[in-house]
Amino acid sequence: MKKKFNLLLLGNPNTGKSSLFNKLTGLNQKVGNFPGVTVEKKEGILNFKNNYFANIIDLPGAYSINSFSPEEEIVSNILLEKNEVSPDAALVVSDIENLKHNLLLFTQVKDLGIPLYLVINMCDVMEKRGITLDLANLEKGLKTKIFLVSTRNSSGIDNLLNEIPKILDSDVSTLVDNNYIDLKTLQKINKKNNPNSVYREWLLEINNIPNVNDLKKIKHKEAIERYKFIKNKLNKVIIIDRKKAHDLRSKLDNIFLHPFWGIIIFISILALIFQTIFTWSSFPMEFIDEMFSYLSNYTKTILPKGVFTNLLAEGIITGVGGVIIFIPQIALLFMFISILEETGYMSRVVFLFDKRLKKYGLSGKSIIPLISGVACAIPAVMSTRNIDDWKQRLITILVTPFMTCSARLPVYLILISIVIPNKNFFIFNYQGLTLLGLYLLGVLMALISAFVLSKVIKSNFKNYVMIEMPNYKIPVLKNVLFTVYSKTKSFVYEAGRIILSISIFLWVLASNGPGDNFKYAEEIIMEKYANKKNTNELNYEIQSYKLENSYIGTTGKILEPILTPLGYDWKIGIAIITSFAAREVFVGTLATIFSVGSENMDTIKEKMSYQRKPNGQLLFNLPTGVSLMVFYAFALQCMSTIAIVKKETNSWKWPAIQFMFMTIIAYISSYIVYRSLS
Amino acid sequence: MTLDKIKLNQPVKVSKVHTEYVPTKFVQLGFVPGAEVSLERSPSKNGLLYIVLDGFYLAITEEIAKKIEVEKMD
Repeated sequence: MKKKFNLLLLGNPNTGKSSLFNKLTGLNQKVGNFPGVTVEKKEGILNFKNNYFANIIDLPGAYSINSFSPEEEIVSNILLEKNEVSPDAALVVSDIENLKHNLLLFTQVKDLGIPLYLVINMCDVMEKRGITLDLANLEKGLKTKIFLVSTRNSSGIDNLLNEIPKILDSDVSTLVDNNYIDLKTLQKINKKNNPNSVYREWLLEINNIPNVNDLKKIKHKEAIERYKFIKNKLNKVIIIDRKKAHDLRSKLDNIFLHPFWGIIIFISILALIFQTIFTWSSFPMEFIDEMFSYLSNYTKTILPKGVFTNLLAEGIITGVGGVIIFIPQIALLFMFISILEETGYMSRVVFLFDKRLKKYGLSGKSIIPLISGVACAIPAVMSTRNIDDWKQRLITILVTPFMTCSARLPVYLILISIVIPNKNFFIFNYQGLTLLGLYLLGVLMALISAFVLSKVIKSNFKNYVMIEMPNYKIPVLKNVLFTVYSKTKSFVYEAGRIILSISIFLWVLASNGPGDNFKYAEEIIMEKYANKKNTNELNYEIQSYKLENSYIGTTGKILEPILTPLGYDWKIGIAIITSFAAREVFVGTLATIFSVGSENMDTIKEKMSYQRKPNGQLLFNLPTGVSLMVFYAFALQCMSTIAIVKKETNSWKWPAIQFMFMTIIAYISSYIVYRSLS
Repeated sequence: MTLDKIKLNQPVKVSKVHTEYVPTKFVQLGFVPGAEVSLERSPSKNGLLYIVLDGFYLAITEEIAKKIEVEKMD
């Protein structure tokens, strides 16, 4: 029988805790969320001899166990056994350069009476930074076994792995005497019962203190007393010769934090990243697209004709393809984000942009998702996990889809080419200016919405800016690859399910229809156009007729009265509904409706240019065309974005709110534009 | 003197932290009486102070720095 124990991995942010987690568990890990919140939960298995194994839980980075952030609340709940996870033992990870600050959390966990080891990471830089440590005396002072490791060069990891099975037998005596901190509460709990861990009972008891300021004073006092203890212990065992610490920090900070050049460098880095993402991802994306298209057609040829074959070929295979196709972009974006974080550059970006974005209720870290949104909202929304403050993160998630993603481009290009004259205003082309205007419109609406949302959304947590400025480091390839792997996996498994379900649902609506028109589409078209059109033309006519009479087509017609004030007819209504699968489907749907044999822009453009409304006006005239562009600029026409927002906010509430407010903004703006230009 | 007034190359010691105005998070980070603080870079216009707190590099807002009293090192 297997014997298992829960081993918590704790530490301040930026101590290399996750790198250690990866070293200990390898690919033997699963990523999810802690119940009820969107804080990432990583669990992994570490096997020992004799069927003995540890379930390692990588807890979020925390500075203390009695603070206020959602991450620290999770850590606190687990340690105080308010959570489903029972802590059997813990590894507290610390960074050799910030040992003093990291030990506050360590002393708190130690005083809870949990068997633990202290793992001091980044020991490979000790000599370079002029640090000398008397390990034996520190172990004695902290009554704990200490391991010096480096997750960068793997030194000390084997030793730690060998010793983990013995962790449950560690010394569990406490370090800091709570009598100095809060004798009044202590006397109360000692009278009530005889707790095993006085500190644990004290932590539970102080939360009942009604006056916030009294509670704050006690917490301050606790931190002060703990720092006194830490200073006392460290004074005797650690020597830091700062003159030896020759690092590049100041020189690089002078460049990266320069108020002007810092921003230019950041924009250049981003431009390079996006250029690379577009260039590198286009080939695998095309390959995936073609592969699934081939697979879909191949399935139809080898299986007997029927509903099941169509469901498999057009619904399931196409739906799976619609999930897989995002992988190259997601993997590449997270590779770059991970590199920026590993190098320590991301903190400098936050430093540069925090004040600028704070005005709109966003964080300095929002800059990455917002700009990533220009490529695709899916990885952009996923990248908001770097934002610590829940409210700022939520606002960033809600406004990122306003940024003009690449899927809007085919819609804009065809509409611009039809309704905007190809003429110049001085040296600027009207069509180019319109496209630029649409990009700017997205940015503007994102900022306005963020500002409004920051006034509407309430948060219990007030975030005070504190940006840790880590040393510059060369990224560790293995860590980067782990990030890419875990992010991609979580997208495929969590958001992928929703995207696939919606794809199948849309397929069912487009492949079935009420009444005889859909059922006898072939016969009706054959009778109408017999001997007038060739086989190919007849096939396009049948597809168009079927789509018109499908459930989606019928919905488009039902929606026509709502869409008429914007200048749209039922055909545009159908294209809007189908493009919910992906915005670029708009062009393909119009091609089908207008019975165009290819998705060649010129051919579709020609067909669209001739279309007329019942009153004889051109369907795609200036007011309708601009109104449509504005609609696509603001509406959340993307099921994959909805799926990823659901995943990242852990509820349907926020994607529903987001869909509604973006649709309302899109509708009202399109109406105003149409009326103004008519 | 408060922390927002410190100058480059003039390390100071934290003398008092105003409990009612300073969030607990900052005390837990090490802004406790006796902690050594120095300015890493000249204050920028973005309202953030880039400082070193007992060897720990971080940026905090001037708003918080105003609530932390410091004194010159002996």
